[in-house]
This record gives sequence, structure tokens and C-alpha cells, in this order.
Amino acid sequence: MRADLKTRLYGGKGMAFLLLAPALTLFLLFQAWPCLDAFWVSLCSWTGFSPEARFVGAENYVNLAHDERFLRSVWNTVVFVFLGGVGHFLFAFLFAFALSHPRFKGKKFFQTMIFFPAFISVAGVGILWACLYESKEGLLNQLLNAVGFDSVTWLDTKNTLALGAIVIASVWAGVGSQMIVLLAGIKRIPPTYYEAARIDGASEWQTFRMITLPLLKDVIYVALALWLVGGLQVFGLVQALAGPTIPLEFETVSTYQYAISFNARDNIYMMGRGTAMALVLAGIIVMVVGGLRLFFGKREVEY
Amino acid sequence: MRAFTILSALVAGCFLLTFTLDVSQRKLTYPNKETIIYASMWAPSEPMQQAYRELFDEFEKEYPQYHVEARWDGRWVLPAVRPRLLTGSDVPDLLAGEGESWRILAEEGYALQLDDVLKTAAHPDDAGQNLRAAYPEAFLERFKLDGTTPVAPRKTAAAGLYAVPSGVYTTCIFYNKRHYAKLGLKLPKTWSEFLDNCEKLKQAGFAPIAADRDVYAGMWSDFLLRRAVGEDTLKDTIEGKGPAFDVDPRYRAVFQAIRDLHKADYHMHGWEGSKWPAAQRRWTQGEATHLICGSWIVRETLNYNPSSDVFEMGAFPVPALDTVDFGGAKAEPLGDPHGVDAGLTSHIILKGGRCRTGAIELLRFMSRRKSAEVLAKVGKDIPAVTGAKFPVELEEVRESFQSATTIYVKDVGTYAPKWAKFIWGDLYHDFFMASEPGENGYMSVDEFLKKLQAKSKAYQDAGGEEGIQ
Repeated sequence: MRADLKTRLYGGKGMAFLLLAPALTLFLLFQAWPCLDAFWVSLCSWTGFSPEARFVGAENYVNLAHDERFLRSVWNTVVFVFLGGVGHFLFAFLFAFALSHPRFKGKKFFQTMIFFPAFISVAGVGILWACLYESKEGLLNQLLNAVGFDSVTWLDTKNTLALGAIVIASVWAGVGSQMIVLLAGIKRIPPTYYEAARIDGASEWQTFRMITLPLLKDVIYVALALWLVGGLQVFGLVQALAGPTIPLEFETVSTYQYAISFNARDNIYMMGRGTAMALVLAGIIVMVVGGLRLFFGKREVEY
Repeated sequence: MRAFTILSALVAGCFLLTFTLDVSQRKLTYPNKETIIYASMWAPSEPMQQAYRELFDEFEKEYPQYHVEARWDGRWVLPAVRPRLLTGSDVPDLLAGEGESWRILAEEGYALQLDDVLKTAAHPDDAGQNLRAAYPEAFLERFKLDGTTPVAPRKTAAAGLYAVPSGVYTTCIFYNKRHYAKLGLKLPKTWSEFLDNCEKLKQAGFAPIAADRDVYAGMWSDFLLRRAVGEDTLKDTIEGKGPAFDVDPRYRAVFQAIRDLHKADYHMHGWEGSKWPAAQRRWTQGEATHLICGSWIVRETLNYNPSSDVFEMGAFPVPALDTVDFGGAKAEPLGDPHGVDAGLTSHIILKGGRCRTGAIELLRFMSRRKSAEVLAKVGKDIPAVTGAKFPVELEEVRESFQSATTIYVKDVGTYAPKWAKFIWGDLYHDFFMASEPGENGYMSVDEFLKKLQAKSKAYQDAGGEEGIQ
């Protein structure tokens, strides 16, 4: 009997559950339960302070569909992710490709320089770029003036591409990280492939298009997925660069969510709508990353 | 199995330690002392934080049985305190908050009603009076609930007073005295005199108005609406019970006055893309003359060390609107040059705190004139305590306060925060920043008022503040 119990406990599924129990408990407690609870909150009207909340059904979601600022924030977020994605990957590829070239001198130096902004906190990057963009004393305008151009009001909300100013700061801060990921991928590709291509007379561009790019598929997928998840949640940079009061033209889903969920300064506490926003954002992220996965198909690359 | 049990016990032990360590630490570090937890809206290294630190040191000397554990949470003190309120663990005894922080705490049942506390005697330094007498009654009015506020769900906060003022800020037009002296300008009493001064300054090569995008731009409308339309009328219009925005000529008059500043190009170069605090720095460097701001500007510019050759700060109240056509409607009163805006920061005693007696003693200590003067001297705050001296830099503001016929305390955010956020904010931004250009590159005043009325009507139809979830 005792031996039987032992076998059941340690030999079968019992042991598996036992070993999984600590991790599963933590997962249920700190991941699954908050997610379910967040969904419940999104169906309620709640200040975030009261122990009780009033159930309002799908009203928060319906209100979001009619909230012009929310729709604008979704649009701004999409524009940020698209422009930022183009900027990040264009430069990251350029730098990674250049730095991986056998004849490139000073690799370590340039690699460190390009990666350096990644060491700066997001708030620091925002404040730094706010100074650079400053209308009169900003470095960018001083440079423009020095070569005979008029100053540009970079953060003027009248500019159609005012959001572009934030994208530029984001690219500057993040390109180094993307470059490192791509560089690691490039270094993984066996050099014999390149030697064979050179013997066959392939140009640099052909080598990049026919060898580097296809063999980097899995790395590109990971880098893109990370960018999409981070980009769609962009908060700190916008808050630091365009805040403290964020105009409509710079508002992203996360900054808006933060502003209405517990905005003591504006006396607004709409935790229900804020949580609905967070869940909509999470849904968008899941769909986009899922779509990306479908687009890339089988991710493993075999050499 | 045994290993698993030991591991589980260890994990449980760690959790228990986490919950008790904070409290035991205090008892070990401050034996025989009770700890008063003070959650503050000020952040480390701010002048106000230094002023409070100075006060707490003095308090601990006078009351050796207490230790003040200050948590400098900054402006987001409420979100920082929220989890502690919900769990009831480690709740601060006293909270210093800004704006309407007190209201949510009172309405949700976390704030202690202070009517009885204020009946007790004041600090011995101000002997012979009760605590209530330390504060101007007009300020205390601001922290009262009338007992009818519905609190979701199924609760009504009891009528009473739930906070006391900890400081005051006023908004007015700050100016550079050096520019005024150089051009021999007189302080303007009317809007036309103000525009005249702006024109002369512009001709002399000074930017008449320093501004960062629209950070403080809203103050123009705040100022003028209160004075020309009246706080109660504005509230009625927002709630659909008063004159419509696009019908009453007083509204048109206010926004026309604001538009006139744009038309004459009085804002400093590049203001549309300027980010706070660039404008106030450029202002202290002598580039621009006027800055519409709150009295906190004194402490915000303390570290700029402006050269006294080019800059000396002064302030004057909002001039009377005499340039605009009220279409027969009576402004109430016309611009009100003798009215003063007073925003208040507050102290709230929280019910869940463990050292209520200490918190009341600390509140009593801070209600002293001497304490208010430390805040004024070190923190550059306008005292909320009767009879305390103003910071020297705000001498002109003090004169305005002393001769004030009206003290404006009802910010739109106090009674219609969702209207301010969802209806007003973006539309006024478009109007002020020309994000939706119309005539001469700007949205016309009539178009703005029409849109404002239409959006406000939709807000009223949706049930106003209560209806927007």
C-alpha cells in the first residue's frame, strides 16, 4: 500500500504536479489572477480607491470606441511603432552590416558608441532630447542656425510629424540594442557561406539579400516582436519628452491610460476605463505579434 | 517531501518577515518613540521638502516621544499611497496633497473628519486661540463636504471638514521689473494698458510674453473667465443650467482677449515648440517680460541665479477687461482687478494610520505662524496660516491678497474634472495652439465657442460628471 502510494506520488503525474506546484502557484497568484481581475475591473466603474466597484458591463469598452482621444492615441501609437520600427531596423541593419564587415576598422569603438544610449534611462533620454529640441538654445537649432537655416520648432503640435521628434529620440536610444541582436545573428552565420558567395562573384548587396537576410529570419522575428511589444507600450519617453501635460498630438495609449486611471493632478480616477484600455492594448499586442509569427512562419533556421 | 516542507516553511517565513520587517526596523532604530508616517507631495531636494525637513527636526526636538518618518513621494503621492490604503497596511498618518487629493480620500472614507480636532487649542506658540482660528475661514470652506456627495457605490460621505490648508499658491502675471524700469512702464490696471505695455516691449525688442507650448496657457482662460463671467455662472454653463458658451457675449469677450495676444504676436519666439521649463529660464535671462504662472515660480527659479542686471521678479493681478465688447451683458465684475486666485495644498489625517495622536500634534505644530514662516522663507510658499509673513519675493502678491475683494478658489477641476479633461482640454489646445487652423491661421473664437457648446451639451446629455465612467 505504502509502496503503491509512493509510486503514485513520485512515479506518475503526482510528482510532476508536485514539482510544478511552486511555479504554478506563483503563476496563478501573480499572473493569471491579476489578468482575470483586470478583466473584471474593466467591466466596472471604479475609482481605484474604494474596496468596492460598480459593475457596468461593457460600458467602458463602448465608451472607448467613442472616445476621440483614445482613438487618436491608438493612431499615434501605431504611427510611432511603424516609423520607429522603420528607423530602428534601417539603422540597426546598416550598423550591424557595417560592423560585421571584415574590413571595418574600430568595430569595438563604434559598437560601444552606438550601444551607449541604451545605458541611459528612458526619462534621461526624454529630458536630453527635450533640451536638444529646445526652440532657441537647443543644440539642433543652434546647428541649423550655424549653417544658415532658420530654427525649427520641433515639438510644435502644428507640425504633422511632431510625433516624429519622439520617434527620432526613440531610434537614437534603441538602435544600439537592435544592432547588438542583429550583430549576434550575423556572427552566427558560417563565414564559408560568404566565401562561397564571393567566389561565385556575388556583390555585397546580393550577399546581404541572399545569405544574411534569409539566415537572420529567426533573429529578425525576435527583434521585431520585442520592438512591437515595447513600442506599442511606449510611455516613459513620451512622458519625459512631451509631458508633463501631454497634448493630443503626442498621446499614446499608455500615457492616456495612465492619465485617466489615477490622475490626482486632474482629479480623475477612472480605473475601469483605464483598465479596459490596457486590455485593448494587450489584445492589439497579442494580435500583432501573432500576425508577425504567422508572417514569419517556421522560425528555426538550419545551417 | 521533507525538503519540500522545509522549503515551504522558509518561503512562508520570508513572506512574514517582509510584512513585519519595516515595523520592527522602526522600533529598533527609534526605541521609546512613536513613528508618525508623513506622506508628502514634495520630492527630495525641492525647497519645500527642505523646509518641511527643517520643521520635522524642530518638531522632534519639541516632542521627543515622536519620530517623523517622511516619505517624499512627490506629486504622485496619491497613487503611491493607494495600495497601502486598499490593503490597510502601513497607512500614513498624515498626507500632504495638492489640488483635490483630499476630496477622493474624504469621499472614499479614508480621511478623518477634522471638525472636532479644529476645536482644540492651537499650539502654545499661538496660545489663546483654537486650531481653527489659525486658518482663514475662506480656505477651510474649500475642504468641506456637504454630506450629499454620492460615493459609488451605495455610500455618502458625511458632512464636515476633511483637510486643512498647508500652503497657498496664487496665479497672476509675473513680470521683469528691469524691463518695466528701462521703458518707464506703469503696472497695467486694464487689459488695454496691458496690451499697450506689450506693444512697447515688442518695439523695444523684448518678447512681451514668455510661454512654453500650452503648459500655462490655460491660465489665461482661468483668470479671465472667473473674473468676467463669474465662477458660479461658469459652473452653471458647464452643467447646462447657465448661459450657453456660444450665446453669452462674456465668453466671446474672454476668448477674443486671448486671441488678441496671438494676433499681435506677443509670445516669445518658438513658444509653440517650447517645452517647460525653457520659457521660465529664458524669462529669467531677460528675453521676455511677462510670464503667466503660479506663485510656485519663485521656488522653481531659485536655482537659476538670474543676473540682477537683467532680471528682477515682480507680479501684478489680472487687469480688467476693458477692450472687449460684452454686448450689453454685465461682467461680474469687469475683470475684477481686486480678485485673487488661491489654489490650496492640504494636510489630511488618514484614518488607517497608527499614530493619530502624533499626527494631530504634528498638524498643530505646523499650524503655528512660525512653522508657516519657515515654509515661506525656505520653501517660498504663501502661508496658509493667518498672520504669517509672506516670502520676500512675493511682496507685491501679498499686497494683492491684503486688498482682495474676492478670493477665487473654485477651479473647474474641483467641480467638473471630467469636463475639463475630456471636453475642454483638447479643444482649448486646438484654439490656443492653432492645431486646427481657421482664420489667420487660428480657429476663430466663434468656431471655438460653437464647438465648446456642442461638446458640453453632449457631456450634459451623457449625465455630466457622474455619467462619464
